[in-house]
Amino acid sequence: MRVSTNEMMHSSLYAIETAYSNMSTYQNQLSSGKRINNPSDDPVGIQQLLSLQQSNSNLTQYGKMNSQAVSFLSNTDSALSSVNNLLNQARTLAVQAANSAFEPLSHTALVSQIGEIITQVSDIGNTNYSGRYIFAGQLTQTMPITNSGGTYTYQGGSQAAGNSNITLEVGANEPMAVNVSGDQVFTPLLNTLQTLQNDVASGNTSAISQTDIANLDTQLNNLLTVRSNVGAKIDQLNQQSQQNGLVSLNNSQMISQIGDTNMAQAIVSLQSAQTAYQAALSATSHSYQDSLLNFLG
Amino acid sequence: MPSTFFGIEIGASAMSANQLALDVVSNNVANLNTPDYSRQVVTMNENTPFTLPGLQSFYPGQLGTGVSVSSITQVRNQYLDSSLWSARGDQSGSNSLQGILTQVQTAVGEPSSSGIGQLMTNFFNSFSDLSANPENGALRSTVLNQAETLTTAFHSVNTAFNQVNAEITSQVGTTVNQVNGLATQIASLNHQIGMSVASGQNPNDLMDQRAALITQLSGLVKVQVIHAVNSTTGQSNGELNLDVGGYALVQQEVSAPLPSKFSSVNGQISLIPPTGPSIPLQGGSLYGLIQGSNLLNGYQSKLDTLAYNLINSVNTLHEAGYGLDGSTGNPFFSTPPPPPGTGAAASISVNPNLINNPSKIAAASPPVPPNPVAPGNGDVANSISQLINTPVIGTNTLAGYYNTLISNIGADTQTAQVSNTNQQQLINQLTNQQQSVSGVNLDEELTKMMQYQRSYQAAARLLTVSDTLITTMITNMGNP
Repeated sequence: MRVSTNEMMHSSLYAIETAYSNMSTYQNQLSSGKRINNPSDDPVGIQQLLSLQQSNSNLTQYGKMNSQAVSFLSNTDSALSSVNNLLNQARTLAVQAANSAFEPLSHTALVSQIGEIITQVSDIGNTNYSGRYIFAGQLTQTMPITNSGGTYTYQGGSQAAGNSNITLEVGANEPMAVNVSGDQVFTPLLNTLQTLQNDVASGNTSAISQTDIANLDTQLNNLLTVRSNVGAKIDQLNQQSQQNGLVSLNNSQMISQIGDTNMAQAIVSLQSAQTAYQAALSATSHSYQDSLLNFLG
Repeated sequence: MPSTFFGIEIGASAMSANQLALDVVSNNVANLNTPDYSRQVVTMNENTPFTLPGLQSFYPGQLGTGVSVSSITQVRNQYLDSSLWSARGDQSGSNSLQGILTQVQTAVGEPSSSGIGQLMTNFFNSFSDLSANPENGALRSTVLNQAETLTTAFHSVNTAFNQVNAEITSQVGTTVNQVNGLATQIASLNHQIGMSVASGQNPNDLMDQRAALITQLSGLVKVQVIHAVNSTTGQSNGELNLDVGGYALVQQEVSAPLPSKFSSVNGQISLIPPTGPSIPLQGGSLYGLIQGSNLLNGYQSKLDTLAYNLINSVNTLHEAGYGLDGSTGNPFFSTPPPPPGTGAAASISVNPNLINNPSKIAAASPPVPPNPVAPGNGDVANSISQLINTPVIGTNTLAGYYNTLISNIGADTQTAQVSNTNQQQLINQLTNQQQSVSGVNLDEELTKMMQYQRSYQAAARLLTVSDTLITTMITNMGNP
């Protein structure tokens, strides 16, 4: 076949350009560490990549909600655990009052001790954690338990007003109420304690032994139920967090598989592209050495 | 008996023919690097032989009278020429489309942590944060900041799309002007070539010039090249007609300018003249530009749909919610344009009332009367944050719709890249074939140079010999 001088030049140039551009593709993949630098690098892959990245962002957000829920529930639990201790103290005092003969002096001491417990319990009911009253339902800015002239009133959110639950989305379509509203625990509890205090003050031993102690036991039970509920939620959240961690890890592996350069493969490809480039250069440099001109006198 | 000077005449004809051939060789060598130059070859013919008159005709026969150059023609394969022009049209079409789509890819800037997809996720996550602490003023500001970052991203992608589109329109105008300029030149070359051919000449250089112009032209718009025919003789008159989708761009010596107004309906890309039928295009950078504009309009309308649905879905939930200050019915984003939401990506913005007073962000669900809004109620903020997983556009989530758009842009770009590469290879092959017919080979020309040089030397030697003969006759015979 007849080959023109320019044709050979063009072919060499095209071969060099192609080899050079291949080399630069792999070099780019290696230096950026990314296989997909533009949507056109892998149109199917980019869709997977974006949706996996979004799914990971979602999981991170659920993780954040999860840890906020855990901290809210832990605060609630530690507050309730203190209430539990105080209730046990009150029960001991009640038993003491029921079993001893009425002596004004020692009874005054018991009454003031019970009064102390009532104040502490109501203080715990007003626990404020980072600017929010945790036992006030949704009315987080309102002090839930107020004392006017020895009467305790609950002013937080309630089931009846439809503002008792603080709900966090801890997973896709997994809302979880993370608070315990004060009307569930503190209102009946303070009532019981106040009745006990009055009965001790008036020396009504039969009421103490027959109803007050039983009422205290009911409250202790109620508290236990609420606390075990809180504990169960914390467990559930911890489990979910682990599960989310696994899914997120899996996602990250997929993201890396789809979007990152396979180093071993890219290095081998780069080497073969380099070889092709060298061959093209060498072929070009040899092509133009000979001409009839060299032999004309 | 021929004349005394007969031999001198033969030698002279050989010298002049070979000299001419050498000139053609040197012209070939000179134009080695001229684009679209076709090598020229010399055709030599014997001169008409001379029958020697005589009473007794026992001469051995007719006597040759030397040589002359009958034609200088270029070596050109018309089939390869038109294949190459056609391929060039396809290639430059996908090349300019690839250029546009690369700009579009840069405009959307994916994959990145600052693309609309990630910013949408951040926006919804800020609502999720707010739902956990709705009374927190800092989180309310964060929601507004994230929303403004998102709207800015919509604006900047939209603006970049608009810029590309404006660039396309201006490039279409420039390209049409170039096409029309080239068509005028080709028509005028047709005229000169026609005159030349009619007078029996081979206007090689004019034809090369015209081929170079058609090569340029076919990169801009795909043309069909038709050889014009002399109506009386039925023979090619050397002129070429250029046809664009049935529109006579060049008809012999007349060119008709293309209009720059364009449209693309149902994938049919055409130019719209002020009067008469529209001109369908098949290739060339003009085709690629309009195709790019068509695709870009599609992307832009999808971006608008995304913004429109984002505004509507967030607003619907937000308007039903309550702010910390007890206000309700406030849209989160300013009112979008009417359905289908054309221009939503450009106009999307956060309701200024909320920016002035972040406590109006409606994180809370409606309170049960007569209770006031509960500051710790983040139910509406939560519902808004859950839009991230909700099918909003048909069966697609907002993010899913966006991801598909990005994937489409990627696929279109990849298609343009691949067909550009393939067509470039086709052009290379065709160019090689064409060059193998029409291109200059230096070794071949040098060989011919030696051949003609030697022939010239031999002819000159003959002349010297004839001269010697005459010298013998005139000088030596006179002096006994």
